[in-house]
Amino acid sequence: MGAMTDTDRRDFIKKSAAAAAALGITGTEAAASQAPTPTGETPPTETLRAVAGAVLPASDLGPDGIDQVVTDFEAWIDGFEPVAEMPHGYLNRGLANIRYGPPHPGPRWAAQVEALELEAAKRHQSTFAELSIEDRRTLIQGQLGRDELGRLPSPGQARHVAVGLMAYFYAGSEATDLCYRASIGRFKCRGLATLGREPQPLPSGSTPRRPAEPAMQPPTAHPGEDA
Amino acid sequence: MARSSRFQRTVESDVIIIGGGISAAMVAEKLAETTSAGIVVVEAGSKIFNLDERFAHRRRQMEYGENPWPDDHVPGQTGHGLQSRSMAVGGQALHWGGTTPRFTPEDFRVASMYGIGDDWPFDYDDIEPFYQEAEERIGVAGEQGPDDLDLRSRPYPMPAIPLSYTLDRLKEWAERSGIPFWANPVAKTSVPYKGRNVCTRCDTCSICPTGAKYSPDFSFQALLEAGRIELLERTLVRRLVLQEGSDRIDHAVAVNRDTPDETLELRASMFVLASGFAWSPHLLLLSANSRFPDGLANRSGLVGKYMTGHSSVSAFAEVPEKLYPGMYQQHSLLSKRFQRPGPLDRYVRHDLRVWEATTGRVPRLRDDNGDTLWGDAVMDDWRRRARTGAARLRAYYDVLPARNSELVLNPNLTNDWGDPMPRITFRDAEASIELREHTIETIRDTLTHIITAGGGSILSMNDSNIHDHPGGGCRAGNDPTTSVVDAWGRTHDHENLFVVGAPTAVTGGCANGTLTYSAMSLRSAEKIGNELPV
Repeated sequence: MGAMTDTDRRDFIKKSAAAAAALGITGTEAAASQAPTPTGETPPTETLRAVAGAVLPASDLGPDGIDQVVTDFEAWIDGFEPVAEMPHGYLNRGLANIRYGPPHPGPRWAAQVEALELEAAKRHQSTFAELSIEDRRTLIQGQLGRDELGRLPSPGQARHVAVGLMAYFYAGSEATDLCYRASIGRFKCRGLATLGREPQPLPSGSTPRRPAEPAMQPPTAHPGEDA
Repeated sequence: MARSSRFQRTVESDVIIIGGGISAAMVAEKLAETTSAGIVVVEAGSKIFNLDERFAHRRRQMEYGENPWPDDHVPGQTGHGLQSRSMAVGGQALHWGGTTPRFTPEDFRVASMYGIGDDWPFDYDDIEPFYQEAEERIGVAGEQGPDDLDLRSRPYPMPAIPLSYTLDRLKEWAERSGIPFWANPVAKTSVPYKGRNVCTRCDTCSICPTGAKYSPDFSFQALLEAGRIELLERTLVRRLVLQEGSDRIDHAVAVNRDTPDETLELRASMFVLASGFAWSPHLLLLSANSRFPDGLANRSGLVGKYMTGHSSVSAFAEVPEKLYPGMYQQHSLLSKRFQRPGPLDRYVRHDLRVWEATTGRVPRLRDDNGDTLWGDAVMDDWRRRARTGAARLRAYYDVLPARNSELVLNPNLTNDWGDPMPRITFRDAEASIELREHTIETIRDTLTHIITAGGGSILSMNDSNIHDHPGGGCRAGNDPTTSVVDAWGRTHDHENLFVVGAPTAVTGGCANGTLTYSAMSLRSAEKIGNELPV
């Protein structure tokens, strides 16, 4: 084996760190410790779809809607910029520092998805996608820390891919519309004409196809106050 | 790291405006229109004239939470107690929320009317025309409130942004308390205005992708296109220097961040310090010399003192009807009922605002019993909790600053040029400390009354002693021993040096200050213009 180049070394460190991160939060260490090194920053699509089928609201989204959310989520992962500059907070106390965002979650999430496949094989002699919804949820829950099951974080801050996927979906305008079964269009540029009217009900049986707007996080430039 | 200066370049003009935020924009606009003076605007931050890129930046913020104004700060130019690191052409009003209430007459006369604190050196009638002028320059959309609470000599430049269905329901709910509410005035367009698009309700006002919200970069762009100003961006003013044997300002010493080894000398007959509540007193303190060892304009010893702002009490409430959060969360209701309270046994004044809210009505992964929610159960749980609505209520209350509510130079924190950075410590006056418990209790009672009168219930209530919308540090007054600038913003100690906007505030009032600081800047500009070539 030849000597590692700098690029190889960085790649190895990144993947090792991602695998270690996955191990650190898994409840099934034996299975996860044998997980193959992830091959990229985006989790495998088929397994991710199986995760989505277990954690997203299937009755509202339907299979096509779930697939669309996964496709959009993968694009979101691809577009993630690690350690990006975050908004300056208003009302700083102490030293006013520039804040930066988290590292890329993709490698960690890819490792987790690989671990789900591995555990499905060891426990059930099956692929993850072939498991029942309940069995999938059991495996996912085994990887989650208890502190991850509460309030949804912003997607990039999610430690686990399943939470990241749910956070991504529920941050979106379409999720709010589905909850209220009304065309609110939160954070869409909607004009003022219909502002005073009660939002129209969603068409019966409608499920989102391709969101017109990306999953959205409320602006954080001045949390809790206004300027 | 201190840098040695080896080269020198001189820029000369009639007036030099130091700072590139909203106060600077107001002064520059007015002087450009009313005088023939040469005007140079100096801003330490960069020029971000990127309206065509804002949808993309908004998208990144919405998707990833990134700063929609990347690199809008000056590395190393920081301090303790700043409100924001943003430093760019446009200032903090690049990403402000656009809220533009006026103060009320009481704000300027608390000593005379309530025997507490200090009066300002002018009253509401003096500043009213400049409020109107500021609203017209900025472009404010507003609704006339009750005449006795919402004093105006002329209508708002634009009709109010309409209330959303949700906000309209909240108005009806909140007014069951007997307290009148109306649409909060905002620097956003409800109709086409001065070439700006009508607001399209993107609801991301910290980055308005259409330019419907006013930001000062628009003013500077127009002035540059008209050839009426010279803009020195990325240029940090480090000192003001006196004329030999005189108290007049001779020149400013600056450095362009792209040519850091070159000293820049900025000469003018008039200097306007428009650098906000932190960097204005900071520059005066940095400019100490043998005749003014405590800093320029500081014979009173009050530069950097009486730093002010207002504190708040907030509540979140359940509202017993179906509401639709997300219709326009940036829009809100306002009442000035408690800004104009009439005679009081004990002083309490505050504004009142109401917004839509999602408190307790967001998706979650664990229910009240601690059971994990997956799939449809998450949506079902969310839907069940969303059957009723929620509201956010907040009152900013007036806080009187202590003399030692102060900005000082911090020798332990320096920028790239070795200059000490500011350390700001807000402290309330004894009178406000004594009143705090009574104030908070009174406001809590009012918020509770509003919530319960509407048949709602309190989800949470809390108070904050953060000093929002900060100002002060160069307070205005008629007495040179108790103030830094006069009623027009001219420093008592230097006839050709004005300080404008937030730093000259005597108190923070009990409403967002940007419109008031803009109006004060226009009032200063009128006086400055009288001394410049027509």
